[in-house]
Amino acid sequence: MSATTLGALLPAVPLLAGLTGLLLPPSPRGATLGQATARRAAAALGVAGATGALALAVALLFIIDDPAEASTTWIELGGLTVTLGVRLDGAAALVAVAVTAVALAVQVYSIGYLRQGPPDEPDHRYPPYAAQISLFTAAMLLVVVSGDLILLLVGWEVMGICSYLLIAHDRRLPEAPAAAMKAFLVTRVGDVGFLLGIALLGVSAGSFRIADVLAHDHGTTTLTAACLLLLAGVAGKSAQFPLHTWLPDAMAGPTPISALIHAATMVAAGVYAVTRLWPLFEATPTALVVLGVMASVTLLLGALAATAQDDIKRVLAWSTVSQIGYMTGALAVGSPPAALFHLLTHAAFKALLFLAAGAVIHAVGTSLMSRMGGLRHHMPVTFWCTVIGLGALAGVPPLSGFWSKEGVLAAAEDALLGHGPAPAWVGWLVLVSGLIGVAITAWYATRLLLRTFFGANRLPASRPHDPPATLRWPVLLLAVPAALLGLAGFAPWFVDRLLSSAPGESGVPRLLHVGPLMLLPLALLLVGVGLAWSRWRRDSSADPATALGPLRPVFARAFRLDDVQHTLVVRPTTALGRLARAADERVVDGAVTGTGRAAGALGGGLGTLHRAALPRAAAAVLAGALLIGLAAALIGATA
Amino acid sequence: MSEQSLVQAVDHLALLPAYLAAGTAVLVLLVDLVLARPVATVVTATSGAVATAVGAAAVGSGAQRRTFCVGSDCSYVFGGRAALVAALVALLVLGVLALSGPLLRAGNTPVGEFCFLLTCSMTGGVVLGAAGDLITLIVAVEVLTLPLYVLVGLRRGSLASAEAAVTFFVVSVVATALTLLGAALLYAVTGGLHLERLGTLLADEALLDLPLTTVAVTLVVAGLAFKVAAVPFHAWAPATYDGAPLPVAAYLSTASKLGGVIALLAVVQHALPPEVTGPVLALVAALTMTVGNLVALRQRRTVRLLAWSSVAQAGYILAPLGALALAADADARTAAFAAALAYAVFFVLLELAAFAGVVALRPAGADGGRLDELRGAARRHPWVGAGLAFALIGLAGLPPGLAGLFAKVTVVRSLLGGGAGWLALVVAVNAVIGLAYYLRFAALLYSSTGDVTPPVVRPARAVAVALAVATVVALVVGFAPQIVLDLAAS
Amino acid sequence: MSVGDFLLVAVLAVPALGALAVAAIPRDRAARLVGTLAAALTLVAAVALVAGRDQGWTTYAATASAVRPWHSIDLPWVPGLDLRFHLGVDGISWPLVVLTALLTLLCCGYSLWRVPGGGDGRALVALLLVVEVGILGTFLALDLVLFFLFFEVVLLPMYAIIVGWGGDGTDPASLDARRRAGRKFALYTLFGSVLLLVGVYVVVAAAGTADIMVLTGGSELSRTTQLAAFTLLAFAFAVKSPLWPLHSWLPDAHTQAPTVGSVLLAGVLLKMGTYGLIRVAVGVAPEGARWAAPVLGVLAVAAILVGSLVCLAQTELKRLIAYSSVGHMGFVLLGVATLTATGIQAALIGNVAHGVITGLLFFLAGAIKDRTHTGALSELSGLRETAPRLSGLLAFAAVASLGLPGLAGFWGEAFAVVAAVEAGGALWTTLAVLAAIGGALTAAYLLRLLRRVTHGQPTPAVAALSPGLAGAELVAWTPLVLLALAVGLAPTLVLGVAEAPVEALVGVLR
Repeated sequence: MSATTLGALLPAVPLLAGLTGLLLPPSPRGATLGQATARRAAAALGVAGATGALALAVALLFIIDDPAEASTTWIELGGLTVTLGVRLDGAAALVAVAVTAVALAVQVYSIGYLRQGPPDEPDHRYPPYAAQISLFTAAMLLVVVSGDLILLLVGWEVMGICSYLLIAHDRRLPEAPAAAMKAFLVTRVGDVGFLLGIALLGVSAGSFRIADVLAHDHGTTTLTAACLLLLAGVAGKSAQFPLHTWLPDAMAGPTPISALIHAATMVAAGVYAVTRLWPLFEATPTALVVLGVMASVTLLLGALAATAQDDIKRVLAWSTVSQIGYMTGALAVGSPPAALFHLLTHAAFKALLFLAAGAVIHAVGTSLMSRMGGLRHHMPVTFWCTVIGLGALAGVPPLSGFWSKEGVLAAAEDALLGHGPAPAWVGWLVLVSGLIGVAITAWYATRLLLRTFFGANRLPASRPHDPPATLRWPVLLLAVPAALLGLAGFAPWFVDRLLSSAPGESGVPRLLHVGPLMLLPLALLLVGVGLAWSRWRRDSSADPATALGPLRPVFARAFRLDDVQHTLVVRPTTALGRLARAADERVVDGAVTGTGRAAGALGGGLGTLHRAALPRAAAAVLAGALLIGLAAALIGATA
Repeated sequence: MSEQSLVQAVDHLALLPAYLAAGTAVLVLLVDLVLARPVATVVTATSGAVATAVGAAAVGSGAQRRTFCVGSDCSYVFGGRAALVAALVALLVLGVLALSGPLLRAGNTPVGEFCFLLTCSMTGGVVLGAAGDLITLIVAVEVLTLPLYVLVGLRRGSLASAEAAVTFFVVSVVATALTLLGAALLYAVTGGLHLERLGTLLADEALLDLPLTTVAVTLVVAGLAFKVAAVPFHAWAPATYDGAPLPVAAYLSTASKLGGVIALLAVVQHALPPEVTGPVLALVAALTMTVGNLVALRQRRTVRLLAWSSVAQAGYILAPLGALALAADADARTAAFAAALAYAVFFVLLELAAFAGVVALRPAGADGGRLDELRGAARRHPWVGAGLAFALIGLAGLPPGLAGLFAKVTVVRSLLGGGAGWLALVVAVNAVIGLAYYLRFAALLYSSTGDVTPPVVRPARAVAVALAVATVVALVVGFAPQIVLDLAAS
Repeated sequence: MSVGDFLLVAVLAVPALGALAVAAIPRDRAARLVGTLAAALTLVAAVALVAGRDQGWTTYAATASAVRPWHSIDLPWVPGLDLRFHLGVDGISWPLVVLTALLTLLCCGYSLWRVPGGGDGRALVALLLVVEVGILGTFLALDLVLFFLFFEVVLLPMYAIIVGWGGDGTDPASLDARRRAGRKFALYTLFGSVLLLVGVYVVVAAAGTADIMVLTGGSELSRTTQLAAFTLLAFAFAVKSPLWPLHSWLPDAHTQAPTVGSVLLAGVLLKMGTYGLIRVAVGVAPEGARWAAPVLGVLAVAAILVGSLVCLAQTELKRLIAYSSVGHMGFVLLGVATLTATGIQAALIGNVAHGVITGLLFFLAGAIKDRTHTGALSELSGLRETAPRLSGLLAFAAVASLGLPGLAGFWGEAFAVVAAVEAGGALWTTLAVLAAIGGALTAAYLLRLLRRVTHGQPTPAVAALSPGLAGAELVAWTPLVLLALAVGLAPTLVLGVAEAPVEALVGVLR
């Protein structure tokens, strides 16, 4: 089977599983008969879809050598060609493996995690849930393999709607529907730009095929405008400042969904899309500058916000925001391989972290760290897995995160020396914020570990224990790449595939290199860990976050950007909506009904005039006739 | 001059329809006197009307016949259009006779007088279409109208009838006076009375510049506008229609109005200068349709609503004539006259059907009553209700009333062909206002009555037949409007 | 008479005769069955029109008309009014013809199962068929006067459907409300069609013919005439489409109409306006179209934004969907206004997609209202708890409606934006940006709708629902669901046949 066939099958398999799954009967509340069968079928379908996709992705990874492309015309719209095709390279295959692996883990994990719905009731909407995960996976895979911008947009948006559906899955949480809506709408706002950017590129090239778009010589203005517009979409999907607000709220979804969104799908899509269109961005310094500033702000913002959260999932969510900042930072300084490398390691350790956190939440029945503690002894497996995950997140060598973050920093260093397409100061910006980020990350990762697994159990009544097999195995298996994937950076085979994402780059770009610069982040790491640990040593029951002092509530609410967004966008829009409705009903429709009423009133008035008594009427008519005659005579005389 | 004989050979064949109509009237009188049996009287009148219609059609199918000529000017010209008018008037009389069944049977109305007056009026209508000079024209119009003063007030013991009759009489007299004054002035200016001669004489620029000419023309047009109840000479119509017995109201709004239209057409087409009549008629048309429609919006009595709507319809009829001033070429003018006539034909058909529907749904001999009294009528009498609704929709000019739709189309086409776009827009807007009340009326027929169930009245057979025939003819004409257009253009 | 010509006549004659048969059969159920059968036959004939079509597009000659129907018949009817019975079908009209036939069939089938209270089902089916004749005739007419004639045919049956079977109760207030809505619909759209009449005869008077095939390209008309004609025609079609701010008849009519009425109204009736704009207004008066395009574009974008904003503040289910039509048709009109091939193709597919999706939405809204007896969003929530299938379908329809790529709604909206970008210049670029923002607002109100209706705790009205769907409902909805998917995945279904005629039309615009 050729690579392109594999590539085309890749999204098709989970899509088929998802569509079939949607047809399974969701049993209504209270029903038990038959729902077990439906549930089993749904789980089997979901797992089978993900497994099939994973197998295809792995096969693709092995057979792909050179970039491959195949396409057929989908539709011609007035001279603009939209194609249906795949565009494959090593990077795409790698990302596809990551996506499918996480998806498989999530599917298996969900079987155990969503056994119970609300208290005392089985989760009766499991079939659509599993099917939506399959669709989600299919959509992301479509983004990964797509060879056409419109086709990419299809996956891009379907992912948005799947995230909406999945985040709103849990009906015990009143905030879930709102969070789901927010997730979709914020990303959709970004997609306004994305669509316009695609439109600009497609119109300019006369085709939406990525190969054609990349080959076409767009003018500088068009290119800059298009890249900046595309960045809006990227910011939305990848939760970059200022469109990052949806991601922490999306925690309202079930934990496996958080893992899926944070590790492999939604947030990865933005970064991946930029690497796909890299030649365009490479030629647009303005866009890279904007991206660099956005990345730095996001990186620090996310990290700082993570320091003050009490909800374990929110800590992880903000850490995702921050880590995506590293990836976009790598892109801004001109190194898609570094970005993708971090994307892959992040996929592994973030999925691991979320699933482990899910196990913790599952065990203690809450997601607030202030009600956890001392779980190390009760849940050793989960504990060690979390340690690996957090280590990778913070960048403890030799865990995966260390190497990939190192790659990003090295790329930034390269850029500040003037080697990249971006201005040097962007390199400085990314490097400095990245280094500061290392320290903060280490601090909050340590805090999370200490608050959750060390110290005294703050909920003595509960009997937490390690999760059952369906939850445990995905966590355990994910721990392997989370720990070791970074070392793949030394394998030429792996590096070749990563580098295929930035063809045409001259020289040998550094993905990894051991050097003195490695010591700086290590030192910062130790500072972060040390600060958190020392605070905890002083008082193991107190939250290390108290050290933040007056800044703590500000960080906890992420600089109140939610409120800003609410004040600047949401409230004016709803007010405008009310105004539009009132204006529409009173003015536009009022004019119509007013015309009708006025005609009626006029008719009534005229009718009253005609009720005059006979003699007067006759006299009036006679007079009128004479007047008309006179007028005609006068006009006739003057004419 | 001297070589012309003063003794003319009269073409009696051309006069045959007029003879038949007049003969019918006389015969009806005799039969009523001699036999004094209502049935015989009605049968006589009916067969007379049929004979007249057939006679008119037969004579009209041949070549144009002219008689009472002075030189090339003839006072009596019986051509295709005259035949159409004569036949139509006779058929309308037939229809009205059918509608009168319940009224006459109710006993409040003297049958002999009713039939005699109706056939007298028919004579006027038959002659009208053939009139070739102003005097014949005015006399014919008066013959058409005079019996109506009596017919309107014929119902015994009805104050409303009497009042209506008086109003009608007074206003009509004023109108006739105006027309006669105008005709006299025209004669004074031009020395001619024959329509075609007037036309040639008034083509003279010098005559047109005389203010007196303008006044004369305006007076003739205004006087005749009374007959079609055009604004501002329309005030008599609603009161008169409402006070008159229903069949008479039907006659007033069909045959009588048709007579007015024919008279106007005759003078405007042949005699009067379009530069003067065009703007006047355009203004009158716009006012007529607008005022008629607006006032109709607020009417709560059935016949008043129909009366005001027929005022508005007169506006549509006059509209093509208003385009005359701008229409440069003769073709467009002919088209405008044909359009006006065609509209009038479509209109009288639907109007007769509408009145037939109302008569059928009302108790025998009753007046039109309030609209509310017809609420839900179509649920009790589906066929009659459907017929009435069809007529109303047709009057509004919408499918499935294709006859009405084509009538509207004809008018708009002639207006745009004549370059009077603004008038076309006025017509368009008025069509919307018109639909408002026609739709309310039609919907009322189908709305549920709630708890109140009025007594079910069986429609008289003759009325039902009249309604059926009118509806079927309207349907046929709706699918083949070319028939009417051809007849009107001949 | 060739098979194609026969089909052309059959597409109109079958529903017309069906309506007569339905009216003549006294037994209610049998009559409805006959009506449904007639609608089914019509659909077969409509689909069959595509067979044996003339593929002569490659031999494009400069002298040939820009409108080249696959099949056509041309018979004289009323020469005195320049009216000929001239029918024809091509790639622009065919998808709409099939859509009309399909939706009518679904509505008739639905009426077999459920007749809304107020009148008998027989008359309803007969009226549906008459409406179908009118709409199909409008799409098939190749004579301006005939076009106008069919345009008007639809008016009164639709009015009767709204007033006779609409509303949600028999109390005087709701009776009054639906009467008012019906009157507003009838009078407002009549206002549009009388302007159409005037516009048609402006063209006919100037060109001396009403043949659309001859007139397309506007070579017969002077610039002044074209401007006047386009203004009048555009007004007429703007009322029907409806284009903001001439839309205010639509929310009332949709809200009050019975389910099948709303489906037809939104599904195909509005398309008469956009189709007319493309085929008649733009085709016959291209000079006028170029002149008025910026105004049309601005109004279209205003429609998108105002429609979406009003939806954001809307509290009634059917009213919300009705206003959403204003926004969606705004995208269609924006596509037309760009006067590019891309834009017109986007408009065509947008038309079809809106018909399918909004038809489905109205079916679902009707089902919800029939079950809960309320349309207030505040009284509907938690639908997914008690009626998961219904709620799932609603979510699907809403998602399709918000223009999710991969579903039918995407192509029309996205490519209207692309076409505006393609048109270039400051104005059109701004319009593209605003339209794209409108797309985001569309998502906002549809998600708000979903959040209100499907999520949350069930209200008393919703809690009493049974989870199942009737077989008739499934039968009526499945084709629409599948079509929304199919057109989304394979837009060629609609646009494959339209490419050549659109190219030809755009050719005369240049």
